Amino acid sequence: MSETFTLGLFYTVIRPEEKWILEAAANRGIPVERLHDEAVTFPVVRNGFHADLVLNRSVSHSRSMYALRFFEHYGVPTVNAYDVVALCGDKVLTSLRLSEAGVPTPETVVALTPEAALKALDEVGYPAVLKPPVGSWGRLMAKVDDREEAEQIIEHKTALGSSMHSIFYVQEYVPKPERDLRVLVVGDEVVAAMYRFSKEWRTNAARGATTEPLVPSPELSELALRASEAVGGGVLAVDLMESPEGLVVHEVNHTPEFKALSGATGVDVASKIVDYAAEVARR
Amino acid sequence: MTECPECGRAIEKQNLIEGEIFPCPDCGLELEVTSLVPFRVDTAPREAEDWGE
Repeated sequence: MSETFTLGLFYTVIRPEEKWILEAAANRGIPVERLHDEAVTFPVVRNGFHADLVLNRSVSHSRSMYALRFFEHYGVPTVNAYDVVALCGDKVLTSLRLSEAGVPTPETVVALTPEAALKALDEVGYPAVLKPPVGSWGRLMAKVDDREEAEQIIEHKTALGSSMHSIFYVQEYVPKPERDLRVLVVGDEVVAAMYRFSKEWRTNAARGATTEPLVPSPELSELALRASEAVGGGVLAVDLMESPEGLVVHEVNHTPEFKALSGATGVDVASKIVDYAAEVARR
Repeated sequence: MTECPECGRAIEKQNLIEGEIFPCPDCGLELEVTSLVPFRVDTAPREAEDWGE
């Protein structure tokens, strides 16, 4: 397959995922313009920039946000789109959009002050989970077992001083099996799915969870596709939990890692992503 | 050929590419290829608060 467009790869570091993407592009004869997020500058008037489509693989949410808005401003399509990343990068906005689309999610209450956070935790009931609205890899998330623990954690979060820790995203603790489900959606296709196992309550692969391939049921595929569509679609990893009431979506990741998923399932996710990017570029 | 900035272990270019991160085979420190010609590695960037997927 030969393509006539140049793929921009906006990245922070070259992990196995980015290396596979570069290889997949090379195998298809697609030239790649590498755009290192630590080095690129963004003039308000487009200048010296060749890519026809930019694939965002930056691990920095703030860099991604500004860069994708610039690419949009330059008239360059991106995977994912700015609006999708803005939405999925913020757990509060994601919860609202999923709820609006009727996608089942864990019970969630947001509070804007430490005092209100204690009230929110009382409303949700203990144990509960406290998350920063922006953040990933399970970082600085806390399972809160009682009011005393809540007061201590909120005090610590307040002491951190950043705006990210002054908004409190409180979620019910879902009594799930020692696993969650990750489904990777590319465009309108479920390309791979896996279980992530951990004895800890967080099941992020970044925290050392083990994985197993999963053949998605029609119900799981349908829910993952609905979640993806609700946030605007693209290349998205939908994370779900098995609650006593059924599947709930707890996260939609906009720049998914897929080393563990490719390893567990044998699916060449990088090629799927590059083919999708080529398809978006042709639109 | 270059060396790990932490433990001094010799690091060969092999099939590494610019920007690639990889662990030092001896000390396990995560390294980043900062240049291919000349071949240089440095400590990989530290995870920031807004990093993720």
